[in-house]
Amino acid sequence: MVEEGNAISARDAPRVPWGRGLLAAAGLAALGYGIHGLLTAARATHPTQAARWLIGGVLAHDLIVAPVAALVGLALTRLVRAPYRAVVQGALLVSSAVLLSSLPLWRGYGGAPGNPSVDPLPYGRNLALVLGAIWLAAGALIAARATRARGDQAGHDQNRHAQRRGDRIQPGQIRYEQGLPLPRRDIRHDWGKPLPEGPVGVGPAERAEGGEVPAAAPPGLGEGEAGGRRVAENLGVAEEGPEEGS
Amino acid sequence: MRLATRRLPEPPAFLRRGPLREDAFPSRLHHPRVAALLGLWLGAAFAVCFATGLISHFMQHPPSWLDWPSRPVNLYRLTQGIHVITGLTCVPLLLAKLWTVYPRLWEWPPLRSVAHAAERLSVLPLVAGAIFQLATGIANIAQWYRFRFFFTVTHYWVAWITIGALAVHVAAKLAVVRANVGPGRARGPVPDAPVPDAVTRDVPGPGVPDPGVPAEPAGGGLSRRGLGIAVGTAVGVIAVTNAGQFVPGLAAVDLLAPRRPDVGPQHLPVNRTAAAARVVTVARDPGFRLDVVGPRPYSLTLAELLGWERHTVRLPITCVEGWSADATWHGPRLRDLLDAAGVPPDATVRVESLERGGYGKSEVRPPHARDPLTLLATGLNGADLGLDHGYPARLIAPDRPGVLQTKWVHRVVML
Repeated sequence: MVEEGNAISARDAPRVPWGRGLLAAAGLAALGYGIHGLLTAARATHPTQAARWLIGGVLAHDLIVAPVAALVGLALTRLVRAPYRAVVQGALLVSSAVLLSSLPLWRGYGGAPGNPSVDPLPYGRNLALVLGAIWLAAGALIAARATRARGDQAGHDQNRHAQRRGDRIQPGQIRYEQGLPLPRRDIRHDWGKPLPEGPVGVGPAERAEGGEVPAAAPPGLGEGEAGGRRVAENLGVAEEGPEEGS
Repeated sequence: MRLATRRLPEPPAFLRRGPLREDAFPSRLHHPRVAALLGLWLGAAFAVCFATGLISHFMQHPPSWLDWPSRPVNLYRLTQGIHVITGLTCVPLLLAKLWTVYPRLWEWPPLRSVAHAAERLSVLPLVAGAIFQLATGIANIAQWYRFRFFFTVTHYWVAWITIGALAVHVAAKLAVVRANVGPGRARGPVPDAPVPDAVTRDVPGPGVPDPGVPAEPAGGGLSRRGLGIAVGTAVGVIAVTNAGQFVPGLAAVDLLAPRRPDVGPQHLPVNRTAAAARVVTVARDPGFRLDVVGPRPYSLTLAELLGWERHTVRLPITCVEGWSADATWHGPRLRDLLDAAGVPPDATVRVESLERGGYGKSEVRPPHARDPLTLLATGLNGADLGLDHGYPARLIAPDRPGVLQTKWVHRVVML
């Protein structure tokens, strides 16, 4: 997946062939200028210390920060269900960014003892406020998703019922068209039997296969012919047609 | 050139363990499109940071041929405020970008060719420099000096290293970006039945064939759009909780910034106290005299200085650390003091402080020296200038970094 980019780059010819080379050369020049400056101002820059901080930063990210993020993600996979996991991941991302960008402040590092105007704010309290707001928003999002999921529950239950009847559901064959009402289980059909549970709407696969499925009836799931037969069974109609029980 | 792209022998397969495995990073966030989009934002942010940082550097160390203008008054406030805020908001951008490309650190084979090795090596100064700039910047604005090197000098030179490595990186990845972002991007084959994302309900209808954007694989975690929203939210939260330190009127939401513009003696923050500058005794000396050295040099006692024709101006202190605060200053105009010494209008003067050391003097070029708003202030916000703010006199000029608004001034010399 990540290799796609490289495969494409081999085929793609740049529009301005020397533009990339020029940019790279300018970049190398700036890079060299920076290194040269760092080494010549040695009394101020302490190149060995600077180098230690430069390499140390990369190592800290690659060997600590990223693996920790991976482990947290793994733990979330076990602990939090989708779709709520995404909200928790997002809130964790925002929280860690806020924490890192203000780290010396809430840890109490820095500042000057004789100068109360440096780092003067109650950072612990303010951090709690900001993090609280972030997680409050996350909670609201989770609640919104929970309500939406409950609204889908009826449809999903019908899906699962159909699955239990042994029908194979092809991905994409069940579609919830926007605006169609979900079937109500308490409606008694004209034929004296309650409507069998099944999704509303007729998939194009069924229509295309020419099965004689009445428009108002629940669709046959799976192949057209077999589905049509099952619909007829459920309606108690068998092969006679819809005169029974009217 | 062909030598550089010749394939190197692949290491033995049994070494491919742990993070080197092919399926070690299954998250759908590791995709070149995500990396390209985040890279565009990060590149723009770093470019803005670099440009505003250069402005700050050259305002403090102007070359001989460049005289910075003294107007608009709030120019430095804007550029330096943008510099610090952009730097802080780069934290979530950089972390997200590094996460999406993290599997590339463990790619297999590690070295395909010499060209590949060079491209991989060029990422090292970029990542190292970027993390270094953000970390030292955050430490500096909190005045946390954990390192022994001088922040200003080192931060400047590593900025050149970072921007150079960024240019090399952009040149190397230009084709990848073009292939993944924008209207001309490559499209993959249409899958038979797009699998709906567990998060969204965007299932395309059967009658509307999708022209061919490869579907994002299904998953229960953060989607690619979700990552974008989360990063954007982080950027917004950091920007809002820090903007109050330089934007007038936002002080109420200034929750996580190292300064509040109205907190300090005389409602103005202080960077370097009199005690830290070791001028407490000598500044309070009643025998203080201000020397103005020009063609007709003279010297003023404190009483004479306070009795000089006084002007009142409203100017901000715009610190290099990114915060700015407005204040009302009163005192003699620098221009008037220089005229009395016969200093010509095109002359540069040096203002010297009682404080010894690097920040003890600053150069004032003609645009600032002749500006009617530039004062040698003796009063702040209606009262006498406090000791920590530069008693008995400090330079205050428009569009000038706070470090150059010299405090405890005792001598003005024509150069």
